[in-house]
Amino acid sequence: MLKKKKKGKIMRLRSLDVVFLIFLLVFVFRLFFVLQTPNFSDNDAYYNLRQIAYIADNGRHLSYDELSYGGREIFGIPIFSYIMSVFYALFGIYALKIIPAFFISMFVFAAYIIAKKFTEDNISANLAALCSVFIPLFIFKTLNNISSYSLIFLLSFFFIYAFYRIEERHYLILFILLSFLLPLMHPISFLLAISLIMYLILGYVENIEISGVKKEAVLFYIIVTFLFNFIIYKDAFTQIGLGVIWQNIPHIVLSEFFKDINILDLILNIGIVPLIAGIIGVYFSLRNKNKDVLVLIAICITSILLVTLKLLNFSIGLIFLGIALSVISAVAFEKFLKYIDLTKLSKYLKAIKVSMLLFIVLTLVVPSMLGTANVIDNTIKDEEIAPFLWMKENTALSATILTDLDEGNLATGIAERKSVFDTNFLLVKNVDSVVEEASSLFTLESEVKALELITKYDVDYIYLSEKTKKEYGIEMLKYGMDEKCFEKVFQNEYGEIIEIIC
Amino acid sequence: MNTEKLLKLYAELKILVPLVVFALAILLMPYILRDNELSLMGREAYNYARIAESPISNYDGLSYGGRFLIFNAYPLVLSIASKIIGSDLILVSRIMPIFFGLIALVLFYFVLKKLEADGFTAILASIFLIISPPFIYMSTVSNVYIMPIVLLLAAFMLLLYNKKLIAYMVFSLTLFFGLTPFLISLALLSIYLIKSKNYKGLYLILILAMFLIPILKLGLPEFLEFTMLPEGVNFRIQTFIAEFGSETGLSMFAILLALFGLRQLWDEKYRHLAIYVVVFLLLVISFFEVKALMYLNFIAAFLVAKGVVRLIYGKWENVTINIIIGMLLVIGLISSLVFYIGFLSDALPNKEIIESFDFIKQESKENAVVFSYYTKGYWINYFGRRNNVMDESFFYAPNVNDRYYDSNTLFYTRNIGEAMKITEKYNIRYIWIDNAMKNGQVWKEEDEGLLFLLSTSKKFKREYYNNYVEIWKVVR
Repeated sequence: MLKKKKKGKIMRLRSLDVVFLIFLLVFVFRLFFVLQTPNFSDNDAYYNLRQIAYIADNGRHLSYDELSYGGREIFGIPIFSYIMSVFYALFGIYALKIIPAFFISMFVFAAYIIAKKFTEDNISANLAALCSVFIPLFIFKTLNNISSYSLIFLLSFFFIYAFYRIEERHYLILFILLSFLLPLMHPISFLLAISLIMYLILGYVENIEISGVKKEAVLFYIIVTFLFNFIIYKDAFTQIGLGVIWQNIPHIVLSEFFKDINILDLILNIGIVPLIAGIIGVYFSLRNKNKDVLVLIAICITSILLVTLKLLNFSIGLIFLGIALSVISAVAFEKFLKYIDLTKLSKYLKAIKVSMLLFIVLTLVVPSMLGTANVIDNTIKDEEIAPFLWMKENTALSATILTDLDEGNLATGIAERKSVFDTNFLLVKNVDSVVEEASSLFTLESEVKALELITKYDVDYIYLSEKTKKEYGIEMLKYGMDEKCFEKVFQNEYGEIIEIIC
Repeated sequence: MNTEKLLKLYAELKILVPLVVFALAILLMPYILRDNELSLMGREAYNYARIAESPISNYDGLSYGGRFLIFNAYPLVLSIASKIIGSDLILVSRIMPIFFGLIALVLFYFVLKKLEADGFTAILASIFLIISPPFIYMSTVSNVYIMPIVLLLAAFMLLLYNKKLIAYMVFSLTLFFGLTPFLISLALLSIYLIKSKNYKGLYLILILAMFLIPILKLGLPEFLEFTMLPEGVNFRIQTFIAEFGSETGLSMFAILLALFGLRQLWDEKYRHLAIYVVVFLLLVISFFEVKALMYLNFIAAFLVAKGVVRLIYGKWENVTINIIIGMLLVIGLISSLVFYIGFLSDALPNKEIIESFDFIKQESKENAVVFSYYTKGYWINYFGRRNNVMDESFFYAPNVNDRYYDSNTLFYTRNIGEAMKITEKYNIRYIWIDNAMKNGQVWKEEDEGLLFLLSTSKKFKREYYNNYVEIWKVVR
């Protein structure tokens, strides 16, 4: 008996070792790429960097951004920025590369414990955990940037685990804490709330009995989420109503945020293994009325539904779908291995397990590595930052800079000057016309019209990058020939700065 | 009166007196916090205060430049009260809603008691009614709905005490306070009669409906071809929720608790069908007339109380979750109350608005027409004592759709010829603009439409401005 217990302990330790190894693998993998460049891959990271630096310096967050759109209010409490500001204050900017990578890598534990909850098979749970952290889109969207999503995915799945075990006191406390934290951190908490409603509906439809405490927990979470979000975004709701769902994103760029879903996107972004194994897992779970998996199925359905209805950002929806399917794929792996064990192939079970691992590595890890190298290659270069550093050194503090939409956060984050427009759209008045008019300044031919808009938006400098030229199909500003009005004050291989002098 | 009855009355008074005192304290808060010089809150209060100056007249010389006025008993009540108290109409417009609000509260409490709600639920419902935004609005801002609501509650109480004849007479009085309150009363009475299986009583509805025949003599009112949302409201959903800036919206915390209450009632399935029907009906009416939420609020208060009772006594598997949910909602309700009182005490008009109308009153001729957004119409009439192009009294207003479209044309045109044509059509002498209009209520851009013309054309001359208002004179 004692021997059996000891053996069991050793087995559990080994299983945890494997998860820990996956964690290390993911963490090192991410660090390897992230530390190759001192810059961040996503322009939005520079907005977050500014917020974090501000908190580190002042002990409170920026509630009014004087630089974005020439001045705008910021909503919500940037809890993630507060957390990161501690590390930033202690270890400097590299902490902002290492800590998000650490949080994301930790996701493997969340995926593992959930998969383990409904498979009781270590190997299947480990494979599912491996799949979940190597979903291509998940890696590309969370690599080398400062985004609250690096923590939100982790917390969301710990939240789900706490929900599974809510009958136990510790998990109840964890559930309550996360129920308050998630809505405060990000509006994505709505996705979980809707998923939990979907979970109750699925339970009802599939005739699966859901315990009273779980129903109460769902009710509790829904109330907290809706109340917190309504309170945080009250002003936004008052001004733009349900338009808050679309974050006031202008129509021109809305299609980039909300796309139609298709099978090719699913395969490319999620990976073939999580997709197929996940769907098989869903089938078996529903057939066996597995109530634990039902929450993850609800997340899958809600993600697809919200992405299809264009209520959820395409990438985020697909990541939630992908990681939920990855965890569910543990059911398929378990079934598959059990089935093999019943057949004459059982003597090759170990070889089959290794083959499965290799297949996952080949179809998920390798493409992710290749894609990651591409992400790092496309990371903002020092030379791209140079014009903004020049502006920081050589322009008036009150100067307003016109950049393309994506580069707006570089103007505010690096140059620390006002941007005409950037990607923080919420509560920007007449956002459609602002984005349309500001964008038109790159393509206008009439100097009179251009000067009218330049005066309207109080533009002092125009940053014309090579990316912007490519995007608008221009070689130069057509109206910028007049030397009395426009003077080129900086140029390198990535862009030029034009000063408005008339 | 025997001892038993006296004891019963004493017991009720022991509950009612603190409730009334509490209600009075809450209802006085917006006025205590408000700058006394600003007098009344909102817009419609000024309309009724002005009409109360000659309550019997069927012609209003200032609204829409002069229009036929359908009799409404509310200004008459104000006028009579003013004469009885010997006070000015502004003070009466403050006192009367509070007075009727307190009566409504007492009636509500007795109706609940009579409907066999347990004492705890009745007290809770009364407390939730007192702290609900629609009740505070109804009982602090002089409005036409307060009287029919009191009459309706009184009539229901009389029905419950089996005083049918007097009850029906009281019901019929709601007709004198406008068509909408009367139709709501008829609908609610019908539901009550059907529920109490008093089908013969339905004939009475027909008789009461015959009161509408004199109105039909006027012909049908012009059907509004435009939708209007309350001031500060950009989206329909806002009109239902106080926290989103709606004057008469329900608190979202109350809505959540009311859902609990509905769930509680649903335990007895269709026994409470009448309540579900009334809730549904009033919600539908609220889509068209947001003030109908004041009626719904009474049922909501009852449902909130039921919801709280469910939270307290319901079978919860996890007490911690139960307590946190309850605490969240109660804290929410209280914060909603604080927010709403602040919102109401800060309600327009402000000093700048009142001062700007002093200028108009002094500088313009008595028959001058002042153009502004239609929600400013009552102020133009009351403070400026001048004609408006249109205001919020759309019912039987002359050429209301034309006026609306012409107003919009004037707001958004950059063609001086077109603008002048409209100013001549309505004989507009002054254009009154406030910051709200410039910040989204009318215009989104600084140089949009009329704003462009005002700043560039010599046909308009700025005669007055302060931090909030500017007044432009049309030069002919």
